[in-house]
Amino acid sequence: MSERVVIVGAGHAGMNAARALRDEGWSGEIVVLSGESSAPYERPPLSKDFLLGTKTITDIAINTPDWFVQNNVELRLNSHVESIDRSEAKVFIADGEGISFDSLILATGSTALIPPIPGIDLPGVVSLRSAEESEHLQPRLIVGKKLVILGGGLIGLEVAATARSLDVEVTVLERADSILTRMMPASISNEIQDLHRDRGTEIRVGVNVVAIEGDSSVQGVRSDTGEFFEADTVLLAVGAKPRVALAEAAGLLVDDGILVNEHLQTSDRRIYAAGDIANFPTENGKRRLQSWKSAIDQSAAIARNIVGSALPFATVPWLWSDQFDKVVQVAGIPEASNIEIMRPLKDGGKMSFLLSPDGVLQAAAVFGDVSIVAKPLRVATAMIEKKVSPIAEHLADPERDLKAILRASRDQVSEPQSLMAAAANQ
Amino acid sequence: MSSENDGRWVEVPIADKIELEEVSQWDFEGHSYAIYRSPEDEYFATDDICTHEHAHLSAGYVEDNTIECPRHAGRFCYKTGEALGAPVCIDLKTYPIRIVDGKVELQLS
Repeated sequence: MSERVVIVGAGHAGMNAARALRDEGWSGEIVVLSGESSAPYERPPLSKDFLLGTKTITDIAINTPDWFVQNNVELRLNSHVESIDRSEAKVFIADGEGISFDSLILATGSTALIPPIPGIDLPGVVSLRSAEESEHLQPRLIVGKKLVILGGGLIGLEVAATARSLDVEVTVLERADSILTRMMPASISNEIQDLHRDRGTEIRVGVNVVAIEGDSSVQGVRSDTGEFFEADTVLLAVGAKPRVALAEAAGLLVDDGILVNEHLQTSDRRIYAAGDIANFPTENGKRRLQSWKSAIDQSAAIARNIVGSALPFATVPWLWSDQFDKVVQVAGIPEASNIEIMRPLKDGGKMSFLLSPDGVLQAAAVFGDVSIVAKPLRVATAMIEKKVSPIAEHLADPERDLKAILRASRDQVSEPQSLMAAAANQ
Repeated sequence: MSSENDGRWVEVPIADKIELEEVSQWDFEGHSYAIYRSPEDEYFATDDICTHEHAHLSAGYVEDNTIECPRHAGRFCYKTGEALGAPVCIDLKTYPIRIVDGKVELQLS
């Protein structure tokens, strides 16, 4: 009898696990269980092309129907997993059927965080995690209508950009002192904020919304200072919480996501977790990343582990977001203790390098035209991966080729010579 | 599929300006090509537009035999065109290259 991998969730992590298992030569069975009714689709377009209506659900499908046949992957839609029986090594779907597994991959993703404020159930209050929710929001984006977005994160701002392109009046309300806090340096988030304000998005920071108001449908939101913001639609984009109930009920260790080891195994070694739900160890402590690229990288690592080459997961985090005609990309994880070095790029592009106090490159971020900014950021990602300590003056100098800096660093990796050279130059 | 293009070899005039382990965009007769120079100083050519979503691969990152798309980090082997992992699943079209009298030539299809 052939071995079977069961995958719970058909988002990017789940579907890439299936693909990567076949790429790695897994010849056993693969069963993907999805609670959704649509075939697996890419989520990034839900706030952009799909929301605009310029792409259909077929256009954003992760795989063609043929792919499942050619790769012998069994996809079961409308199959919400209710429980895991670890002693029997089975998962149970809603109709009570048990499906046995040899390895289990949990890729259940996130749900929108719903703030505990009055009025949240009013018609016209929406969130955006699924194609269905995007389809629900789309007809509300009409010229002159008012959209209030709670939360100045990437998804909220992507929707703001899409809505502005349709001449919807958009107000973004962020509770913190600035938008996009934590995930990128202020030098880059300020650029995004400026672009939005140029294109007519109203962004207000330090606004704490305490109620959503309206009679039969939403009419606006109220802040704790009593200020009222008129709205025809309110988008909740204050964050997402990992779906861990299934794992928790099965007795797996859970603490801000499902705890996994460096091989992405949960406290039960036959069960793996990938994507938004995985809380994994890094050199700088435990992390949980809610990004597309982490979902892809982690599921590929799990596939390798199941097939047999147990390598620890240690990929540099990377994320992108399209904002109007510009992109932001971030590699690594910014820390409060970082020292920032700015580098101007062509056509007004901006690049920020974040070094640890002892000079190791930890993170980098760029903003601008994708054809200008993506390559420098990718070179920086390679530097972060190789833990190099580049000379700060070189990073800041746009005349210095970054790839040459990377190559020079490669030759002296693990020896802090560049720091010594920097010290000697002073 | 214009038959007059079939098999025609044309010079890639920008080839000598490409550095080792780098890529450049070359537009010819309304089509964008990505021209690669490998770390071993060999030339290769593919379509310049990613098979996933619209992006110029020539703005991407070359490492050894791979090109990584600047938009969503999809990777291809630029020597064979093979798609190397999510999000790309459709291979990239490649074009033969030859060197004649020190000049780099690409064969149109």
